Amino acid sequence: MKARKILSLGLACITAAGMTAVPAFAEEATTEAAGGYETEDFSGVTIEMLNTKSEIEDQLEAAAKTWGDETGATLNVYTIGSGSPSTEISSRYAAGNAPALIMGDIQDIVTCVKAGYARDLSDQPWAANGGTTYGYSTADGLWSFPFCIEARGLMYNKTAIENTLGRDWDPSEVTSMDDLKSLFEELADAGMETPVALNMEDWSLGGHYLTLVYEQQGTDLDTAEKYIRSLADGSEKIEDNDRFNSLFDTFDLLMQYNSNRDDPLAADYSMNAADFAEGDIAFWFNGNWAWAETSEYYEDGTELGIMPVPQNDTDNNANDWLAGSASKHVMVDTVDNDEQQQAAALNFLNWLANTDEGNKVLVEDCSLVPAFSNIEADATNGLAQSVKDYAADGKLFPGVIDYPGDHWSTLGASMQNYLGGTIDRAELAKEIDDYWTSQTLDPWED
Amino acid sequence: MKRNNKAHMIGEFALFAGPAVFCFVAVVIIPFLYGLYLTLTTWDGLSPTKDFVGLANYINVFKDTDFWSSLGKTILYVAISTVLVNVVGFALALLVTGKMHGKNFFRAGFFTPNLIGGIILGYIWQFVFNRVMTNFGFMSKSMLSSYGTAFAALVIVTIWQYSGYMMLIYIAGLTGVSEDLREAAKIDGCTDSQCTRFIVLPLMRSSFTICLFLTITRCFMVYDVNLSLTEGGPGGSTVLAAMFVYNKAFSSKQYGLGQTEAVILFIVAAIIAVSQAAYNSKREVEA
Amino acid sequence: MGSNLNSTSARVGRIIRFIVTCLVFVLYMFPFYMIVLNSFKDKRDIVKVPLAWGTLGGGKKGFTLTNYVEAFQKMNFLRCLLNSFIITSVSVALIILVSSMCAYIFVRKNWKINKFFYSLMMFSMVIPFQVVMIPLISIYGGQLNMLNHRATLIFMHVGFSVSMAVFMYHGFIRGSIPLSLEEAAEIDGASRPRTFFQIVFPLLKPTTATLVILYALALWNDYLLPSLILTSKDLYTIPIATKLFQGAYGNQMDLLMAALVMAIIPVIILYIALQKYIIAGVVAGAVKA
Repeated sequence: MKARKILSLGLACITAAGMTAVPAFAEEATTEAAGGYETEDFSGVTIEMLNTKSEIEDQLEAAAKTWGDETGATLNVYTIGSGSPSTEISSRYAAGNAPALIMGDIQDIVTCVKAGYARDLSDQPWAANGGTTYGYSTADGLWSFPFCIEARGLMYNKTAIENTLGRDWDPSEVTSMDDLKSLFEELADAGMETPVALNMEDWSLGGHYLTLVYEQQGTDLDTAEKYIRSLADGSEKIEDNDRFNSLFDTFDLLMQYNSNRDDPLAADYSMNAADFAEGDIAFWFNGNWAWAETSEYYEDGTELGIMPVPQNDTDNNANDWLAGSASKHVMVDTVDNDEQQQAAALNFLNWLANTDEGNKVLVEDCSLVPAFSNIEADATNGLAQSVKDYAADGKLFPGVIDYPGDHWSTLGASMQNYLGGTIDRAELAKEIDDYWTSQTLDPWED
Repeated sequence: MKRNNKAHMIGEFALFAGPAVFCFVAVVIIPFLYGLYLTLTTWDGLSPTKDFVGLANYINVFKDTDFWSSLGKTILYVAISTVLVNVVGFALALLVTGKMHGKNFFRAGFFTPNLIGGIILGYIWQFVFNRVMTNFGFMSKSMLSSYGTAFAALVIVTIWQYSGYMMLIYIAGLTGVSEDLREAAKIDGCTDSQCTRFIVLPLMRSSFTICLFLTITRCFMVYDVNLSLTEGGPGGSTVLAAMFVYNKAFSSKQYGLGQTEAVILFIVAAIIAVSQAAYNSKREVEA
Repeated sequence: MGSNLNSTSARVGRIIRFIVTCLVFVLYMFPFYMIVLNSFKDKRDIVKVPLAWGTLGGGKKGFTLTNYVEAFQKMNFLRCLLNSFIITSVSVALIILVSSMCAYIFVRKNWKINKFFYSLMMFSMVIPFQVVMIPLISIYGGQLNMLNHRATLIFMHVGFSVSMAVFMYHGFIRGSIPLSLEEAAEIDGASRPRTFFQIVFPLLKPTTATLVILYALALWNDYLLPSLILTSKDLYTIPIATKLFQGAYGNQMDLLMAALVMAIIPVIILYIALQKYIIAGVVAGAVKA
């Protein structure tokens, strides 16, 4: 692990900001850096975009058409459903026909940048409006367009809580795990016996809950990464860590009131969404991407939102900040696409970030929380609005970028065993310790 | 004359086997050899550099205990599934041959699972295990939420999926056993079960060889159902070899190592499947 | 008296057999029933009350056809259907043709080259697809630039399928096709191709029918290989289009079910059409005896 290069956003931002941006095209050099978008003529240019958010396929295709009509270019949106972006990206590069615009998870972008496939985007007009803050950057440049911000925490259904309790309720009432506990008890007494849903998926347990432990060691990435390094070299044991114990005290409480507690590993994601939207339960540990599923069962007027996972250890703003960052990144390919295609690709990203039409696509059509400060429009749903509010106040724990690729699946499996009751907290801690210390054995890292 | 013979032989080979062999070599063998080459590199699956490291990946496979435990589970799964799929498949074939009302209807029904692709089939069964079986009070907990039962669930779905397929091949074999022969045996006083045991079974050895071979190869490569039914869970306990190898190559971005493990999987499966087929073919000849 | 008793017990046996068959049948059809039933329901009801029959049993929204309409439009179903149909039918026809000829020569001629390729094919059946996946597309995409053509996919389907088809024909020809018929034809002066097509190939009907069904199904439902070869929307097959209903965070189960039912119908028709030929296998068997 000591050799594994963890690239930190914070550090990268500073260095990237200091870089001299070299505009690649004359026409872009004339574009004003602050919020400038100019329609260009790309007649006859055809580009492709890999879309890995299948829920916005239709909206993105409509946007591609609008933009294409304005510029004369053809943008084909290639959407994949479930299945990993990394397999898709590998095979497209192997086939020699990588899309000009590639949307992926941060790890995918990191791999592509290491391979030298991505275009430096630090000269783009949107870079200053949040692009460098949320995109993926290194000392050498800015490599991704942050497509949206997604944050995770305890999602609440305010309407359901108020209807059950018969009184007004506000998330600010809950400032500790003890508060949450008494609220659960109150809800249980009022008839909602199991007010919270926990997913059983490894990405939720290992990728979203467990990672809070690292991210809340401080309030910045450096502290988180330093902590991970100390786990990897064995100088820290996770069972001695206050944050770990605080988060798992809360997790135990969530398990106790879990709507799937009779058989927690048989939990069904859609069922959780339906229960949450219809108010059969009041809380769900998840993030604002869940709107896509929740909206299928949502009835107008129900108030939803996201709050931090309440803990008794309140250090480092643990009860005041959400954990979130840009969750989908778009890079521009330089290998299989010529200069014209790359220019068109850049133009499309700029169009999304810096035109009213493009902003509407992100905020209204796709129900996303954009990463750019120039976009002020209110979110279209309560979950996204919570994330937008926290982001606007700067209250987001940034996510560690370079987890080993198997982190969420391996430790997600350990978390499943914990959730299912086959191992206890000490055994879980030992598996986490063992996972990290074994990372040093990885022979192929530079 | 001799040269003529040789030319004739080449001509016949090219005409009859040529197209099949060409497609096969172009699509399977050449990529496979290239794939073998990749096991000698540290390629991550994406970057343009493929560093040659000789046999280092093969040595690393031996250190990867997770791979061996996954392979062990796979062999167990293959063994149990192969036996049960064929027992059930053959039983179904017996049920729906001979005189019976609506036997074509039943045949179509038993074959239906094959009409549904692996991924969706896994989702449907996930629902059956998680929701239906628990509702009807067969069991208090879903079969998918603990290791032993999740493994059993995989086997059940495999039987359900492939037994109809094997049934079809067994039916083709059974109809090859002439009706006259059975009639003759019955006149000689054979009961139905005796007839099956002494007349039909020995004549169906080649069907058994084919079905066993197909079941073994398919079960070794199981991926879709594994992914959609258990997703390797609970707690990573049902990650079978194909899924393991796939994750290693793409999620862990260790393509060279994943590819090497896939080759090892191939060797193990090939030895088992081919020696089974060779052994049974020999017995066919003896019979 | 004895025969009377015998026939009674035989009848009881037949009834028991019928009942057992029916029970197993229900078991086999249950998941399929779930798909059809839920394809007519709103997503909310699919998730919350999957067993409900319309509004009976807790359903709130009742039966609906909108899943079909929406899936039909979103997938561009007719175009996918046409693509799937062309790819499957041409591939299956070619597989049958080249494999039966290949197996025939493998059985009839004891050449070393035949043995070599036959064992190579046997071994290749256990190659995990993942081993050849990336190499395959770097050769045919990166080097030869042949992706995004139906013909490329058909060629690959043939290449991947011949091993098993040759294996099955091999077994059948060796076990059930008597040499005497061919020898007679050869004495009459028929060439080998003519002997094969006029005498041998018709006798292979049961195996051919079986293989047609198995391959038509396998190729019709195949997802991974087509998705690697065909990335242009105009060329999508049904499974590729259906896969889009399965997202990373949650599935469009409603559309998925409807799409699935629509995709299955052509295959059922094919199966029913071919079932006759499988029964005709009895006749082929009689010829042999």
